[in-house]
Amino acid sequence: MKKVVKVSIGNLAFTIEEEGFLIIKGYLNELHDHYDTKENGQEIIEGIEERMAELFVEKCGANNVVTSSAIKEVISILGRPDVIDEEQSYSSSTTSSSYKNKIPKRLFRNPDNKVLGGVCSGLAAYTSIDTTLVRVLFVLLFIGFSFFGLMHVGGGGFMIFAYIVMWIAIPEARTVEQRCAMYGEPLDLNNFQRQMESGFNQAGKGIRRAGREGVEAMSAIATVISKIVSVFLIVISLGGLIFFSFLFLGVEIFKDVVPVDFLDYVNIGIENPVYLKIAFLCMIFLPFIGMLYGGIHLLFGFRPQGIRPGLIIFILWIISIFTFGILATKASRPFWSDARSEQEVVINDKYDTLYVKFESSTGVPSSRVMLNAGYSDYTLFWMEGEKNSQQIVAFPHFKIVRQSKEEGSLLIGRTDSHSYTYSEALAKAQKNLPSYEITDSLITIKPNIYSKQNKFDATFQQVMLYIPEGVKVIVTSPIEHDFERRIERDWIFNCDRNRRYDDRWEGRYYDFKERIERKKDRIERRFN
Amino acid sequence: MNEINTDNIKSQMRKGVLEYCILSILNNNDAYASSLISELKDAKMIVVEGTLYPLLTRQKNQGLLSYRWEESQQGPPRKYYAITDKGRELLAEMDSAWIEIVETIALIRNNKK
Repeated sequence: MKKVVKVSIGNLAFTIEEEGFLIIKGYLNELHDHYDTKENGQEIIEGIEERMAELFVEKCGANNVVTSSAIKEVISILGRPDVIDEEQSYSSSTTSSSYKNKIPKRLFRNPDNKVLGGVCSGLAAYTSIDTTLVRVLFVLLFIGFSFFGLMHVGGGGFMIFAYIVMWIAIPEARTVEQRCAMYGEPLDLNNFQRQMESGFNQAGKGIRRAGREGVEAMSAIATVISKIVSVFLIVISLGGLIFFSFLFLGVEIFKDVVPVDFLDYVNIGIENPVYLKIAFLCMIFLPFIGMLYGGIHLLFGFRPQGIRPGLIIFILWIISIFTFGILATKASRPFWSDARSEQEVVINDKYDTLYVKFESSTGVPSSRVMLNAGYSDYTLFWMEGEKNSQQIVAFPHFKIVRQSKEEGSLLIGRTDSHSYTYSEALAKAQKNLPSYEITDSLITIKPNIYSKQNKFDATFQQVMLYIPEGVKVIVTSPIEHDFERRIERDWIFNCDRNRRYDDRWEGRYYDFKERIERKKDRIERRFN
Repeated sequence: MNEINTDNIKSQMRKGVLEYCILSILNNNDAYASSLISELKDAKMIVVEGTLYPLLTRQKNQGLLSYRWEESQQGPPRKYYAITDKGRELLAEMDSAWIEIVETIALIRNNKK
């Protein structure tokens, strides 16, 4: 099977074998290179082209396919530009009949022998150094730049950048002449033939592009972009794979380093989620594997036979998402219903100062944790004991709410709980109401102690103190935690460790106040 | 080496008279480039056919010949060359120069004998 091309030469249509077309194209380019710069060069080329058409008709008849051998014969009859020059110019060029059409070497990217863009290969051709040697040098330079400093030029990244710049800046040797120029070989029929055969596939593309330079440039840009994208894909996917591997492996590694594994103190009713974990890992890793595959696919352009890994990865990913969704939904059963239980105690309103004490049998350590401290509420907890018998001492969330003068002081203990059914949740909530004691004006709040035996079961406790205007609250233990009145509704929790919080909050408050006053001014001005 | 030299000399001689030949042919008859080529080839004046076209272009630019478009036997119109008056003048000069050269050479050769 031979591919043929329809062309018009000297206003006559011919059917030419692909190989022959390349030879003609090369010959005409040669003529153009030679005569385009000369006076009436176009006319000379037209003449020769017309004569070529006549000779083809003579050799093969107007409707026949012109064979490559006929083309070669015709070209030798017409003569290459240097031979023509020699024969017709009587003035000069009496010299060297052995003069060869030596064309200057030019730097091209070599499309016939490339890993990425053919830059190394092109450099090798230009410098007449072995291609492998140039590649090895390039890689060594990359490693060298990366390891031995030279950070001021970006380390190894410099080489990558340089490569990309060269990739874009250096044109690819597309035509046979360019391929010859790449090696600095004279454009005679032998080299022509050789280059043509070596680059046959490439040249095949060239034919389709012949005469469509714009499209050609576009596709070159598209190629560069796709290569850059593929490199990014590979970098991102490798980065992602490494990052998440370290993250998940790290969790395992640090299990022994971190003083306490909170998961040991939590029992929220989820069964050992092995499949959930597998599905989760698949969901995270498969996209990166897919990206890696896609990047390599784009970069090297191979086409696997039969199976399509990209599609398989995608299907597996979708399956893992569904599996994760189903398993996660199933695992979240203990949270499907929630219930609340409350207990109210009225505090005698003869007191204008109330005292709050967070009580612990071992005292309050200095290394406690307070969440949300600085507002009118906070959560307090800490850890106690030796490494393997540690317990978490956690107090209910404590909150102070200011209400109008007419209402009395009120203490509400509240528990929110989750379970599969409402009745289960409600039972759990009622069983786990926060414990506190009220003696006169002292409110003692007691902690929950979680250990490996008595795990946290996802019930959330709150103690809310409702007080009317004019009543003051002082926290006696921990001693630094003193509430004092600042504004109408809220109470500020003052302690050195949370000073920053305080300041920020105060700032916000004054901003707000100023804003309101400014607004008032504006409104007044409008009505006056 | 010797052979190359004689070839070279021959081609040098041909080069010198090629333009003269073209004008002479056109002086007899107007012609297509293809018929010019076949005549010159028959006379072994040119080896590669491409040679003719730069010469025709140059002579046309010098005003020695002109062309018109005429249908050729292949179909599409081709340039049909004709000599101009200026070309004829030059040809006349060339003719006399040629005769002179031939005579001179004959003279030299005879003397040698």
